[in-house]
Amino acid sequence: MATKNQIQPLTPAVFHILLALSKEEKHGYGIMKQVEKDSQGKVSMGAGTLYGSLKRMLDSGLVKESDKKVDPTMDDERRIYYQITGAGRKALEAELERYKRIVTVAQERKLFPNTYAV
Amino acid sequence: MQSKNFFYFLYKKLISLYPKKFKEQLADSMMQTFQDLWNEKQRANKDLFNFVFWAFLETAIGIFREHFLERDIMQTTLKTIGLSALVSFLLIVPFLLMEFVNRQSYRAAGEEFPIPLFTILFICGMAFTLILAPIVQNLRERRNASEGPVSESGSMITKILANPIFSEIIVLAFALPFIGIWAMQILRIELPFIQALNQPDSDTPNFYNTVLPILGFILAMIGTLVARTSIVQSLQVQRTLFARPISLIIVLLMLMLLTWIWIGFISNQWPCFIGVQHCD
Repeated sequence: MATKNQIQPLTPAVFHILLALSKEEKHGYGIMKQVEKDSQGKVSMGAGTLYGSLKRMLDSGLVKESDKKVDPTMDDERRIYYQITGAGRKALEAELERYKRIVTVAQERKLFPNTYAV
Repeated sequence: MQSKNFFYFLYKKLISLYPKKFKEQLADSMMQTFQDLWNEKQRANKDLFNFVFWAFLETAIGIFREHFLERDIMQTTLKTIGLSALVSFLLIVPFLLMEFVNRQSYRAAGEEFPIPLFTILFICGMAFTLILAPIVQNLRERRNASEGPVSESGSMITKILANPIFSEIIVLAFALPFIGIWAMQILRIELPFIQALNQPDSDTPNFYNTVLPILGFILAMIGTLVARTSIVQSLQVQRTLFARPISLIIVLLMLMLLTWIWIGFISNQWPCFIGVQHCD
């Protein structure tokens, strides 16, 4: 069932976090690194922003905590992982649809510098 | 290694300032992330000071944001401010009406409406209610409440004020200079700086008769609001009004001062309100 949060546009931080978690569950540091990678280094999220957004996403059911486990690529400490929920995936899809529609409009109006034909 | 442990300890302390629910849910994960970022910067031989500075700053901003977003605190604060403004406005409405009617009937054309007078009356009334309303509200709640667990807002201010000595020192530091000068004025104690406040050319606005009193009043209001918060906190935790005696004295003195200013202005301007010509 679609909730109000799923319909509303997402903040940039929430959008990037959902995008980072779309393929696999990640811990906080992993999310930060994935966001940097997804944005080609243009978005760098601090801990205050990341965890503030995660708190609201946990409360609204867009993400959930999974069990503590070890990251094989890092040290052997057990970490808290976060994973996207069904509601989170729907919110991400809705946001991507919005972006897609905006890009289509921009293409139709030939707003991209290198767009000569649609 | 030592510096890592030191900053790790400091960051843990910083995170402890988040609201309680936030901490329970995310503090461990935040500490883990801080450690991961530290290790990453260390491995890459990057400037650790720069990293620590931005991590602490960004987290501190996050703490303020979370406290501000805590709906109950924000709503209570807005409600108190709104109530204070409304009460204060209602108190000056009769005088505003009298001034307006007299102006229509008697006053000379071109005479300015006394905006500064009504601004001062409004500020005094609002400050009075802002100080008193939460204390009265908590006193009523204490009377009506059954014995049970005390609500814990977990706000940063609550934590800072948890130490009675610290909170009383803050209250004294902010409020005492202004209240002290006011008391000296009333008792006619003539110290050199008091004489400077009472210069003969006091009709011309200058630093001593304009900036200094306003600055002193703002600081005293901050001190009194801290005292009020401290009293409210002790009412919630210890269920007594007298746990913070200095705060209580400062609050009472400030309420007296605000009443004195308000009544003083009203009685001084009363002839004007009732329509006496050339009353100024």
